[in-house]
Amino acid sequence: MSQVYIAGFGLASTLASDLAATLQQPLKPQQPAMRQLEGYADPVPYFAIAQASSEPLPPSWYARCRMLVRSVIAESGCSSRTGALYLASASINLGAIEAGEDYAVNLPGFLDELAAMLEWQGPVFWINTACTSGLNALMAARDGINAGLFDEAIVLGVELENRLTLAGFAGMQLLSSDRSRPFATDRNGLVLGEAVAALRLSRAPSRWRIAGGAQVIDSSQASGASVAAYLTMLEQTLARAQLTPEEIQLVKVQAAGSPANDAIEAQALNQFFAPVPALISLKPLLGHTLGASGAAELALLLSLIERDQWPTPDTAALDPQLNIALADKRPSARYILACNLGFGGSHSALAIEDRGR
Amino acid sequence: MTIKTFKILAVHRDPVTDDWRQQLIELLGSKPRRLSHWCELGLWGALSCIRRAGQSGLPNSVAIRICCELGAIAATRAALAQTREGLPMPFTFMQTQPGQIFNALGSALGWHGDGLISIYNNPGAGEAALLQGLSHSALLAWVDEEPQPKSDWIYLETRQPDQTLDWYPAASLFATDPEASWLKIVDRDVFQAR
Repeated sequence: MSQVYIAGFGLASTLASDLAATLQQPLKPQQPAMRQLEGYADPVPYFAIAQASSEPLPPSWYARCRMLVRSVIAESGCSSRTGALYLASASINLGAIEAGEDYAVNLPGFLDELAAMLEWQGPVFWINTACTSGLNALMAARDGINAGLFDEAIVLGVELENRLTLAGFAGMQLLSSDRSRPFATDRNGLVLGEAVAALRLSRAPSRWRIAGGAQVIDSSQASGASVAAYLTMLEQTLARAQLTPEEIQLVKVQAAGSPANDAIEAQALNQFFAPVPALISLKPLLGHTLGASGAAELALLLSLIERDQWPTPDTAALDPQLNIALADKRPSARYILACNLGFGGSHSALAIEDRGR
Repeated sequence: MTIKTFKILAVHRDPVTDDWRQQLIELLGSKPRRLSHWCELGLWGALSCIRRAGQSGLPNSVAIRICCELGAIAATRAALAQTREGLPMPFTFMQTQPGQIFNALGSALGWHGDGLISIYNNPGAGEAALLQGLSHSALLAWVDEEPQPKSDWIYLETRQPDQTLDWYPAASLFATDPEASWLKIVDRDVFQAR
Protein backbone atom coordinates (compact mmCIF):
# COMPACT_ATOMS: atom_id res chain seq x y z
CA MET A 1 0.00 0.00 0.00
CA SER A 2 1.28 3.43 -0.93
CA GLN A 3 2.32 5.52 2.07
CA VAL A 4 3.12 8.69 0.22
CA TYR A 5 1.33 11.90 1.09
CA ILE A 6 0.71 15.23 -0.57
CA ALA A 7 1.96 17.52 2.14
CA GLY A 8 1.71 20.94 0.52
CA PHE A 9 0.65 22.84 -2.57
CA GLY A 10 1.38 26.04 -4.42
CA LEU A 11 -0.38 27.49 -7.45
CA ALA A 12 -0.07 30.47 -9.76
CA SER A 13 -2.89 30.62 -12.27
CA THR A 14 -5.28 32.95 -13.99
CA LEU A 15 -7.14 33.22 -10.67
CA ALA A 16 -4.25 34.75 -8.73
CA SER A 17 -0.49 34.60 -8.48
CA ASP A 18 -0.63 32.38 -5.39
CA LEU A 19 -3.05 30.04 -3.61
CA ALA A 20 -3.60 32.30 -0.63
CA ALA A 21 -4.87 35.08 -2.90
CA THR A 22 -6.82 32.56 -4.99
CA LEU A 23 -8.80 31.41 -1.97
CA GLN A 24 -9.57 34.90 -0.71
CA GLN A 25 -12.06 35.44 -3.51
CA PRO A 26 -15.33 33.67 -4.37
CA LEU A 27 -14.39 31.32 -7.20
CA LYS A 28 -16.52 31.43 -10.31
CA PRO A 29 -16.03 30.68 -14.00
CA GLN A 30 -13.57 33.13 -15.51
CA GLN A 31 -13.79 35.20 -18.66
CA PRO A 32 -10.62 34.55 -20.65
CA ALA A 33 -8.62 37.18 -22.49
CA MET A 34 -8.60 36.97 -26.28
CA ARG A 35 -5.46 36.41 -28.37
CA GLN A 36 -5.20 37.21 -32.06
CA LEU A 37 -3.05 34.66 -33.88
CA GLU A 38 -1.38 35.50 -37.16
CA GLY A 39 -2.85 33.34 -39.89
CA TYR A 40 -6.01 32.60 -37.92
CA ALA A 41 -9.13 34.59 -38.65
CA ASP A 42 -10.77 34.75 -35.25
CA PRO A 43 -9.25 35.61 -31.87
CA VAL A 44 -8.88 32.70 -29.47
CA PRO A 45 -9.52 32.75 -25.70
CA TYR A 46 -6.63 32.30 -23.29
CA PHE A 47 -6.10 32.29 -19.52
CA ALA A 48 -2.79 33.93 -18.60
CA ILE A 49 -1.43 33.80 -15.04
CA ALA A 50 -2.61 36.79 -13.02
CA GLN A 51 0.12 39.29 -12.37
CA ALA A 52 0.35 40.39 -8.72
CA SER A 53 -0.10 44.15 -8.65
CA SER A 54 2.69 44.52 -6.12
CA GLU A 55 5.24 42.76 -8.33
CA PRO A 56 7.06 44.46 -11.20
CA LEU A 57 6.62 42.76 -14.58
CA PRO A 58 9.60 40.40 -15.05
CA PRO A 59 11.90 41.50 -17.89
CA SER A 60 12.11 38.11 -19.66
CA TRP A 61 10.50 34.69 -19.98
CA TYR A 62 13.31 33.25 -17.88
CA ALA A 63 12.86 35.84 -15.12
CA ARG A 64 9.11 35.30 -15.05
CA CYS A 65 9.46 31.51 -14.93
CA ARG A 66 12.05 31.80 -12.15
CA MET A 67 9.78 34.05 -10.11
CA LEU A 68 6.79 31.72 -10.53
CA VAL A 69 8.52 28.41 -9.81
CA ARG A 70 10.27 29.82 -6.73
CA SER A 71 6.97 31.24 -5.49
CA VAL A 72 4.91 28.05 -5.84
CA ILE A 73 7.61 25.85 -4.36
CA ALA A 74 7.88 28.15 -1.36
CA GLU A 75 4.09 28.10 -1.03
CA SER A 76 4.13 24.29 -1.00
CA GLY A 77 6.22 24.41 2.17
CA CYS A 78 9.34 22.97 0.55
CA SER A 79 12.42 24.13 2.40
CA SER A 80 14.94 21.53 1.23
CA ARG A 81 16.54 21.45 -2.22
CA THR A 82 17.89 17.91 -1.98
CA GLY A 83 14.80 15.84 -2.78
CA ALA A 84 13.66 14.91 -6.25
CA LEU A 85 12.08 17.45 -8.58
CA TYR A 86 9.61 16.11 -11.15
CA LEU A 87 8.74 18.58 -13.87
CA ALA A 88 5.39 18.05 -15.60
CA SER A 89 5.15 20.09 -18.77
CA ALA A 90 4.23 19.75 -22.42
CA SER A 91 5.90 22.93 -23.65
CA ILE A 92 8.60 23.77 -21.05
CA ASN A 93 10.60 26.74 -22.40
CA LEU A 94 9.12 27.11 -25.89
CA GLY A 95 8.11 30.66 -24.98
CA ALA A 96 11.74 31.57 -24.31
CA ILE A 97 12.87 29.99 -27.57
CA GLU A 98 10.19 31.93 -29.47
CA ALA A 99 11.33 35.12 -27.76
CA GLY A 100 14.90 34.43 -28.86
CA GLU A 101 16.26 34.56 -25.34
CA ASP A 102 19.96 33.70 -25.45
CA TYR A 103 20.07 30.90 -22.92
CA ALA A 104 17.22 28.95 -24.55
CA VAL A 105 19.53 26.82 -26.66
CA ASN A 106 17.48 23.66 -26.64
CA LEU A 107 14.62 22.00 -24.87
CA PRO A 108 16.32 19.54 -22.49
CA GLY A 109 18.76 22.21 -21.34
CA PHE A 110 15.77 23.51 -19.44
CA LEU A 111 16.26 20.91 -16.71
CA ASP A 112 19.59 22.46 -15.81
CA GLU A 113 18.10 25.94 -16.13
CA LEU A 114 15.29 24.92 -13.80
CA ALA A 115 17.74 23.48 -11.27
CA ALA A 116 19.68 26.75 -11.41
CA MET A 117 16.51 28.83 -10.96
CA LEU A 118 15.72 26.92 -7.77
CA GLU A 119 19.29 26.20 -6.62
CA TRP A 120 18.09 22.59 -6.68
CA GLN A 121 20.66 19.98 -5.65
CA GLY A 122 18.63 16.78 -6.00
CA PRO A 123 17.81 14.92 -9.21
CA VAL A 124 15.50 16.57 -11.73
CA PHE A 125 13.15 14.57 -13.96
CA TRP A 126 10.87 15.73 -16.75
CA ILE A 127 7.81 13.56 -17.36
CA ASN A 128 6.11 14.35 -20.67
CA THR A 129 2.88 12.62 -21.58
CA ALA A 130 1.23 15.85 -22.75
CA CYS A 131 -1.86 16.73 -20.69
CA THR A 132 -1.48 13.75 -18.33
CA SER A 133 2.10 14.72 -17.40
CA GLY A 134 1.10 16.04 -13.97
CA LEU A 135 -0.68 12.91 -12.74
CA ASN A 136 1.98 10.66 -14.27
CA ALA A 137 4.74 12.71 -12.61
CA LEU A 138 2.92 12.28 -9.28
CA MET A 139 2.88 8.51 -9.77
CA ALA A 140 6.56 8.45 -10.74
CA ALA A 141 7.51 10.58 -7.72
CA ARG A 142 5.44 8.35 -5.43
CA ASP A 143 7.24 5.28 -6.81
CA GLY A 144 10.62 6.87 -6.13
CA ILE A 145 9.67 7.65 -2.53
CA ASN A 146 8.16 4.18 -2.02
CA ALA A 147 11.37 2.61 -3.32
CA GLY A 148 13.39 4.63 -0.81
CA LEU A 149 15.25 6.64 -3.46
CA PHE A 150 14.34 9.92 -1.76
CA ASP A 151 12.24 11.06 1.21
CA GLU A 152 10.57 14.01 -0.43
CA ALA A 153 9.73 15.12 -3.95
CA ILE A 154 8.21 18.13 -5.61
CA VAL A 155 5.96 17.71 -8.63
CA LEU A 156 6.18 20.97 -10.51
CA GLY A 157 3.66 21.67 -13.27
CA VAL A 158 4.83 24.39 -15.64
CA GLU A 159 2.87 25.58 -18.63
CA LEU A 160 3.60 29.11 -19.83
CA GLU A 161 2.24 30.92 -22.84
CA ASN A 162 3.84 30.25 -26.19
CA ARG A 163 2.62 30.78 -29.68
CA LEU A 164 3.36 27.28 -30.97
CA THR A 165 1.03 25.55 -28.52
CA LEU A 166 -1.81 28.01 -28.98
CA ALA A 167 -1.42 28.03 -32.76
CA GLY A 168 -1.10 24.24 -32.83
CA PHE A 169 -4.38 23.75 -30.98
CA ALA A 170 -6.01 26.45 -33.12
CA GLY A 171 -4.78 24.76 -36.28
CA MET A 172 -6.29 21.49 -35.12
CA GLN A 173 -9.58 23.31 -34.51
CA LEU A 174 -9.69 22.17 -30.88
CA LEU A 175 -10.22 25.59 -29.30
CA SER A 176 -13.44 27.20 -28.14
CA SER A 177 -14.33 30.54 -29.64
CA ASP A 178 -15.14 32.05 -26.26
CA ARG A 179 -15.08 29.99 -23.03
CA SER A 180 -14.92 26.53 -21.51
CA ARG A 181 -18.24 24.76 -20.95
CA PRO A 182 -17.65 21.27 -19.49
CA PHE A 183 -20.41 18.79 -20.35
CA ALA A 184 -22.61 21.63 -21.67
CA THR A 185 -24.97 21.34 -24.60
CA ASP A 186 -23.19 24.15 -26.40
CA ARG A 187 -19.62 23.14 -25.49
CA ASN A 188 -17.39 24.06 -28.38
CA GLY A 189 -13.81 23.31 -27.46
CA LEU A 190 -10.94 24.01 -25.11
CA VAL A 191 -9.66 27.21 -23.57
CA LEU A 192 -5.95 26.90 -22.91
CA GLY A 193 -4.27 28.54 -19.97
CA GLU A 194 -1.05 29.07 -18.09
CA ALA A 195 -0.31 27.56 -14.69
CA VAL A 196 2.66 26.90 -12.47
CA ALA A 197 1.89 24.53 -9.62
CA ALA A 198 3.82 22.62 -7.00
CA LEU A 199 2.78 19.56 -5.01
CA ARG A 200 5.09 18.48 -2.20
CA LEU A 201 5.17 14.72 -1.68
CA SER A 202 6.50 13.16 1.48
CA ARG A 203 6.50 9.87 3.34
CA ALA A 204 5.64 11.80 6.52
CA PRO A 205 1.91 11.24 7.18
CA SER A 206 -0.37 14.19 6.43
CA ARG A 207 -3.97 14.76 5.38
CA TRP A 208 -3.79 13.62 1.72
CA ARG A 209 -2.58 10.09 0.99
CA ILE A 210 -1.96 8.94 -2.57
CA ALA A 211 -3.91 5.68 -2.59
CA GLY A 212 -3.17 4.52 -6.14
CA GLY A 213 -3.10 5.45 -9.76
CA ALA A 214 -2.91 4.22 -13.31
CA GLN A 215 -2.27 5.32 -16.85
CA VAL A 216 -3.66 3.60 -19.95
CA ILE A 217 -2.69 4.62 -23.46
CA ASP A 218 -5.12 3.75 -26.23
CA SER A 219 -3.51 3.83 -29.64
CA SER A 220 -6.80 3.93 -31.51
CA GLN A 221 -7.05 7.69 -31.00
CA ALA A 222 -4.22 10.09 -31.75
CA SER A 223 -5.69 13.07 -29.92
CA GLY A 224 -8.87 11.80 -28.28
CA ALA A 225 -10.11 9.57 -25.51
CA SER A 226 -11.77 6.15 -25.65
CA VAL A 227 -14.43 4.67 -23.38
CA ALA A 228 -12.59 1.33 -23.14
CA ALA A 229 -9.32 2.95 -22.05
CA TYR A 230 -11.12 5.21 -19.57
CA LEU A 231 -12.82 2.19 -18.00
CA THR A 232 -9.54 0.27 -17.79
CA MET A 233 -7.91 3.32 -16.19
CA LEU A 234 -10.66 3.44 -13.54
CA GLU A 235 -10.48 -0.32 -12.90
CA GLN A 236 -6.70 -0.32 -12.51
CA THR A 237 -6.65 2.77 -10.31
CA LEU A 238 -9.24 1.41 -7.91
CA ALA A 239 -7.64 -2.04 -7.85
CA ARG A 240 -4.26 -0.56 -6.94
CA ALA A 241 -5.86 1.68 -4.33
CA GLN A 242 -7.84 -1.30 -2.99
CA LEU A 243 -11.08 0.61 -3.38
CA THR A 244 -14.51 -0.16 -4.77
CA PRO A 245 -16.42 2.23 -7.05
CA GLU A 246 -18.87 2.90 -4.20
CA GLU A 247 -16.05 4.33 -2.07
CA ILE A 248 -15.30 7.13 -4.55
CA GLN A 249 -17.35 10.16 -3.57
CA LEU A 250 -15.79 12.87 -5.73
CA VAL A 251 -14.23 12.81 -9.20
CA LYS A 252 -12.26 15.69 -10.63
CA VAL A 253 -12.91 15.12 -14.29
CA GLN A 254 -10.99 16.18 -17.38
CA ALA A 255 -14.14 17.78 -18.90
CA ALA A 256 -12.49 20.57 -20.83
CA GLY A 257 -15.51 21.40 -22.98
CA SER A 258 -14.47 19.20 -25.88
CA PRO A 259 -17.50 18.00 -27.87
CA ALA A 260 -16.07 14.50 -28.34
CA ASN A 261 -13.97 13.86 -25.23
CA ASP A 262 -16.57 15.18 -22.77
CA ALA A 263 -19.10 12.74 -24.23
CA ILE A 264 -16.65 9.84 -23.98
CA GLU A 265 -15.79 10.73 -20.39
CA ALA A 266 -19.48 10.99 -19.45
CA GLN A 267 -20.23 7.63 -21.06
CA ALA A 268 -17.38 5.92 -19.20
CA LEU A 269 -18.38 7.46 -15.85
CA ASN A 270 -21.97 6.34 -16.33
CA GLN A 271 -20.86 2.81 -17.21
CA PHE A 272 -18.44 2.46 -14.31
CA PHE A 273 -20.27 4.10 -11.43
CA ALA A 274 -23.83 3.54 -10.25
CA PRO A 275 -24.62 6.21 -9.34
CA VAL A 276 -21.99 8.60 -10.68
CA PRO A 277 -20.23 10.35 -7.75
CA ALA A 278 -20.10 14.12 -7.33
CA LEU A 279 -18.10 15.64 -10.20
CA ILE A 280 -16.08 18.80 -10.52
CA SER A 281 -14.36 20.32 -13.55
CA LEU A 282 -11.86 23.07 -12.84
CA LYS A 283 -11.43 24.05 -16.50
CA PRO A 284 -13.86 27.02 -16.29
CA LEU A 285 -11.70 28.42 -13.48
CA LEU A 286 -8.19 27.63 -14.72
CA GLY A 287 -8.55 26.82 -18.39
CA HIS A 288 -6.85 23.72 -19.73
CA THR A 289 -3.30 24.07 -18.47
CA LEU A 290 -2.01 21.05 -20.43
CA GLY A 291 1.07 19.45 -18.85
CA ALA A 292 0.58 21.45 -15.66
CA SER A 293 -3.11 20.59 -15.34
CA GLY A 294 -2.71 17.50 -13.16
CA ALA A 295 -0.70 19.39 -10.54
CA ALA A 296 -2.59 22.68 -10.88
CA GLU A 297 -6.06 21.18 -10.60
CA LEU A 298 -5.10 19.00 -7.62
CA ALA A 299 -3.50 21.95 -5.84
CA LEU A 300 -6.67 23.97 -6.28
CA LEU A 301 -9.08 21.13 -5.45
CA LEU A 302 -7.35 20.01 -2.26
CA SER A 303 -6.99 23.62 -1.11
CA LEU A 304 -10.68 24.24 -1.70
CA ILE A 305 -11.61 21.20 0.36
CA GLU A 306 -9.25 22.21 3.16
CA ARG A 307 -10.89 25.65 3.29
CA ASP A 308 -14.46 24.33 2.99
CA GLN A 309 -14.87 26.30 -0.23
CA TRP A 310 -16.50 25.34 -3.48
CA PRO A 311 -16.62 27.21 -6.78
CA THR A 312 -19.82 28.65 -8.19
CA PRO A 313 -20.97 26.22 -10.91
CA ASP A 314 -20.99 27.32 -14.50
CA THR A 315 -24.37 28.52 -15.72
CA ALA A 316 -24.10 26.72 -19.06
CA ALA A 317 -26.87 24.16 -19.48
CA LEU A 318 -25.55 20.63 -19.17
CA ASP A 319 -26.07 18.34 -22.13
CA PRO A 320 -29.02 16.08 -21.17
CA GLN A 321 -27.71 13.38 -23.50
CA LEU A 322 -24.64 12.98 -21.28
CA ASN A 323 -26.69 12.16 -18.16
CA ILE A 324 -24.16 13.90 -15.98
CA ALA A 325 -24.18 16.63 -13.31
CA LEU A 326 -21.52 18.83 -11.73
CA ALA A 327 -21.57 19.23 -7.95
CA ASP A 328 -22.88 22.61 -6.84
CA LYS A 329 -21.60 22.21 -3.27
CA ARG A 330 -18.67 20.50 -1.63
CA PRO A 331 -19.41 16.80 -1.10
CA SER A 332 -18.18 14.91 1.90
CA ALA A 333 -15.60 12.62 0.34
CA ARG A 334 -13.00 10.36 1.90
CA TYR A 335 -11.77 9.08 -1.45
CA ILE A 336 -11.29 11.38 -4.42
CA LEU A 337 -10.36 10.52 -7.97
CA ALA A 338 -8.46 12.92 -10.23
CA CYS A 339 -8.62 12.17 -13.96
CA ASN A 340 -6.80 13.66 -16.95
CA LEU A 341 -6.75 12.84 -20.64
CA GLY A 342 -4.01 13.70 -23.11
CA PHE A 343 -2.65 13.67 -26.64
CA GLY A 344 -1.44 10.29 -27.77
CA GLY A 345 -4.46 8.54 -26.23
CA SER A 346 -3.21 8.88 -22.63
CA HIS A 347 -5.75 8.37 -19.82
CA SER A 348 -4.50 8.89 -16.24
CA ALA A 349 -6.14 8.78 -12.83
CA LEU A 350 -5.03 9.12 -9.25
CA ALA A 351 -6.99 8.08 -6.14
CA ILE A 352 -6.44 10.22 -3.05
CA GLU A 353 -7.57 9.55 0.49
CA ASP A 354 -8.66 12.43 2.71
CA ARG A 355 -7.49 11.30 6.16
CA GLY A 356 -9.17 14.25 7.83
CA ARG A 357 -7.83 17.39 9.39
CA MET B 1 17.16 -2.21 0.81
CA THR B 2 14.94 -2.32 -2.30
CA ILE B 3 15.85 -4.99 -4.82
CA LYS B 4 14.21 -5.79 -8.15
CA THR B 5 15.37 -8.53 -10.49
CA PHE B 6 14.65 -8.85 -14.19
CA LYS B 7 15.29 -11.37 -16.96
CA ILE B 8 16.61 -9.64 -20.08
CA LEU B 9 14.37 -10.91 -22.86
CA ALA B 10 16.00 -8.92 -25.66
CA VAL B 11 18.31 -6.01 -26.33
CA HIS B 12 18.50 -3.79 -29.40
CA ARG B 13 21.54 -1.55 -29.59
CA ASP B 14 22.24 -1.82 -33.31
CA PRO B 15 23.86 1.20 -34.92
CA VAL B 16 21.49 3.33 -36.98
CA THR B 17 22.48 2.38 -40.49
CA ASP B 18 21.41 4.11 -43.72
CA ASP B 19 18.74 1.52 -44.38
CA TRP B 20 16.97 1.73 -41.01
CA ARG B 21 13.86 3.23 -42.58
CA GLN B 22 13.62 0.35 -45.05
CA GLN B 23 14.00 -2.06 -42.12
CA LEU B 24 11.17 -0.24 -40.35
CA ILE B 25 8.89 -0.62 -43.36
CA GLU B 26 9.63 -4.34 -43.40
CA LEU B 27 9.00 -4.66 -39.67
CA LEU B 28 5.74 -2.72 -39.88
CA GLY B 29 4.58 -4.22 -43.14
CA SER B 30 3.83 -0.75 -44.47
CA LYS B 31 5.30 2.71 -44.66
CA PRO B 32 4.74 4.69 -41.44
CA ARG B 33 2.59 7.78 -41.91
CA ARG B 34 2.44 11.14 -40.18
CA LEU B 35 5.07 10.28 -37.57
CA SER B 36 8.03 12.43 -36.56
CA HIS B 37 11.53 11.30 -37.50
CA TRP B 38 12.20 10.72 -33.78
CA CYS B 39 9.08 8.60 -33.48
CA GLU B 40 10.00 6.50 -36.53
CA LEU B 41 13.50 5.98 -35.14
CA GLY B 42 12.06 4.81 -31.84
CA LEU B 43 9.58 2.55 -33.55
CA TRP B 44 12.36 0.89 -35.57
CA GLY B 45 14.36 0.08 -32.43
CA ALA B 46 11.32 -1.11 -30.48
CA LEU B 47 10.04 -3.43 -33.19
CA SER B 48 13.54 -4.82 -33.76
CA CYS B 49 13.84 -5.51 -30.03
CA ILE B 50 10.44 -7.19 -29.82
CA ARG B 51 11.24 -9.29 -32.90
CA ARG B 52 14.53 -10.31 -31.24
CA ALA B 53 12.52 -11.50 -28.22
CA GLY B 54 10.59 -13.77 -30.59
CA GLN B 55 7.37 -11.86 -30.15
CA SER B 56 5.11 -9.97 -32.51
CA GLY B 57 2.98 -8.17 -29.94
CA LEU B 58 3.30 -6.68 -26.48
CA PRO B 59 1.10 -7.57 -23.48
CA ASN B 60 -0.79 -4.62 -22.01
CA SER B 61 0.92 -5.23 -18.66
CA VAL B 62 4.31 -4.30 -20.11
CA ALA B 63 5.21 -0.70 -19.27
CA ILE B 64 7.12 1.38 -21.82
CA ARG B 65 9.64 3.95 -20.59
CA ILE B 66 11.48 6.08 -23.15
CA CYS B 67 14.40 8.31 -22.20
CA CYS B 68 15.99 10.90 -24.44
CA GLU B 69 17.99 14.06 -24.37
CA LEU B 70 16.34 16.02 -27.16
CA GLY B 71 13.05 14.28 -27.91
CA ALA B 72 11.28 15.16 -31.15
CA ILE B 73 13.62 18.11 -31.69
CA ALA B 74 13.52 18.18 -35.51
CA ALA B 75 9.71 18.25 -35.51
CA THR B 76 9.75 20.96 -32.84
CA ARG B 77 12.10 23.09 -34.93
CA ALA B 78 9.89 22.56 -37.99
CA ALA B 79 6.76 23.52 -36.06
CA LEU B 80 8.47 26.62 -34.62
CA ALA B 81 9.48 27.64 -38.15
CA GLN B 82 5.94 27.14 -39.44
CA THR B 83 4.58 29.13 -36.50
CA ARG B 84 6.82 32.09 -37.40
CA GLU B 85 5.16 32.06 -40.83
CA GLY B 86 1.59 31.53 -39.58
CA LEU B 87 -0.11 28.48 -38.10
CA PRO B 88 1.77 25.17 -37.82
CA MET B 89 0.36 22.33 -39.86
CA PRO B 90 -1.71 20.05 -37.60
CA PHE B 91 0.40 16.97 -38.29
CA THR B 92 3.60 18.92 -37.69
CA PHE B 93 2.23 20.12 -34.36
CA MET B 94 1.25 16.57 -33.40
CA GLN B 95 4.77 15.44 -34.26
CA THR B 96 6.23 17.77 -31.63
CA GLN B 97 4.60 15.58 -28.98
CA PRO B 98 6.90 12.66 -28.15
CA GLY B 99 3.93 10.75 -26.76
CA GLN B 100 2.98 10.11 -30.38
CA ILE B 101 5.35 7.14 -30.20
CA PHE B 102 3.01 5.31 -27.80
CA ASN B 103 0.24 5.55 -30.35
CA ALA B 104 2.51 4.15 -33.01
CA LEU B 105 3.77 1.34 -30.76
CA GLY B 106 0.27 0.53 -29.64
CA SER B 107 -0.95 0.25 -33.20
CA ALA B 108 2.00 -1.89 -34.27
CA LEU B 109 2.03 -4.18 -31.23
CA GLY B 110 -1.62 -4.28 -30.19
CA TRP B 111 -0.63 -2.69 -26.88
CA HIS B 112 -2.80 -0.55 -24.58
CA GLY B 113 -0.71 0.14 -21.53
CA ASP B 114 1.33 2.53 -19.44
CA GLY B 115 3.99 4.60 -21.20
CA LEU B 116 6.15 7.56 -20.16
CA ILE B 117 8.71 9.82 -21.74
CA SER B 118 11.26 10.53 -19.02
CA ILE B 119 14.18 12.95 -19.23
CA TYR B 120 16.59 13.37 -16.35
CA ASN B 121 19.70 15.34 -15.48
CA ASN B 122 21.33 12.69 -13.31
CA PRO B 123 21.82 9.34 -15.12
CA GLY B 124 22.34 7.32 -11.94
CA ALA B 125 19.25 8.65 -10.21
CA GLY B 126 17.29 8.55 -13.46
CA GLU B 127 17.96 4.88 -14.15
CA ALA B 128 17.33 3.95 -10.52
CA ALA B 129 13.96 5.72 -10.61
CA LEU B 130 13.07 4.00 -13.88
CA LEU B 131 13.88 0.50 -12.63
CA GLN B 132 12.61 0.90 -9.08
CA GLY B 133 9.36 2.31 -10.46
CA LEU B 134 8.59 -0.87 -12.41
CA SER B 135 6.04 -3.24 -10.96
CA HIS B 136 5.78 -5.46 -14.04
CA SER B 137 7.78 -6.26 -17.15
CA ALA B 138 8.94 -3.30 -19.20
CA LEU B 139 10.36 -2.11 -22.47
CA LEU B 140 12.93 0.60 -21.78
CA ALA B 141 14.61 2.80 -24.35
CA TRP B 142 16.93 5.66 -25.10
CA VAL B 143 15.97 7.37 -28.35
CA ASP B 144 17.57 10.48 -29.84
CA GLU B 145 17.82 11.66 -33.43
CA GLU B 146 20.87 13.90 -32.86
CA PRO B 147 23.72 14.51 -32.49
CA GLN B 148 24.17 10.79 -33.16
CA PRO B 149 20.95 8.92 -33.95
CA LYS B 150 20.26 6.27 -31.37
CA SER B 151 17.43 3.83 -30.69
CA ASP B 152 18.56 1.53 -27.89
CA TRP B 153 15.98 -0.77 -26.31
CA ILE B 154 15.98 -3.38 -23.58
CA TYR B 155 13.06 -5.67 -22.82
CA LEU B 156 12.88 -6.81 -19.20
CA GLU B 157 10.63 -9.33 -17.49
CA THR B 158 10.21 -9.35 -13.73
CA ARG B 159 11.45 -12.77 -12.70
CA GLN B 160 13.53 -14.38 -9.97
CA PRO B 161 16.43 -16.59 -11.13
CA ASP B 162 16.14 -20.23 -10.05
CA GLN B 163 19.89 -20.51 -9.49
CA THR B 164 22.63 -18.49 -7.86
CA LEU B 165 24.08 -15.95 -10.27
CA ASP B 166 27.39 -14.15 -10.38
CA TRP B 167 26.31 -10.51 -10.30
CA TYR B 168 28.64 -7.72 -11.43
CA PRO B 169 28.05 -3.98 -11.85
CA ALA B 170 26.49 -2.55 -15.01
CA ALA B 171 27.60 0.95 -15.97
CA SER B 172 24.17 1.70 -17.34
CA LEU B 173 20.88 0.08 -18.05
CA PHE B 174 21.56 0.88 -21.71
CA ALA B 175 25.14 -0.44 -21.73
CA THR B 176 24.81 -3.96 -20.39
CA ASP B 177 27.22 -6.73 -21.30
CA PRO B 178 26.03 -8.29 -24.59
CA GLU B 179 26.10 -11.68 -22.88
CA ALA B 180 24.17 -10.57 -19.79
CA SER B 181 20.77 -12.18 -19.43
CA TRP B 182 19.79 -10.84 -15.99
CA LEU B 183 19.55 -7.35 -14.53
CA LYS B 184 19.11 -6.35 -10.91
CA ILE B 185 18.78 -3.04 -9.12
CA VAL B 186 19.74 -2.78 -5.47
CA ASP B 187 18.66 0.63 -4.18
CA ARG B 188 20.44 2.84 -6.78
CA ASP B 189 23.00 0.34 -8.09
CA VAL B 190 22.49 -1.68 -11.27
CA PHE B 191 23.98 -5.18 -11.58
CA GLN B 192 23.99 -7.73 -14.38
CA ALA B 193 24.59 -11.48 -14.67
CA ARG B 194 25.08 -13.93 -17.53
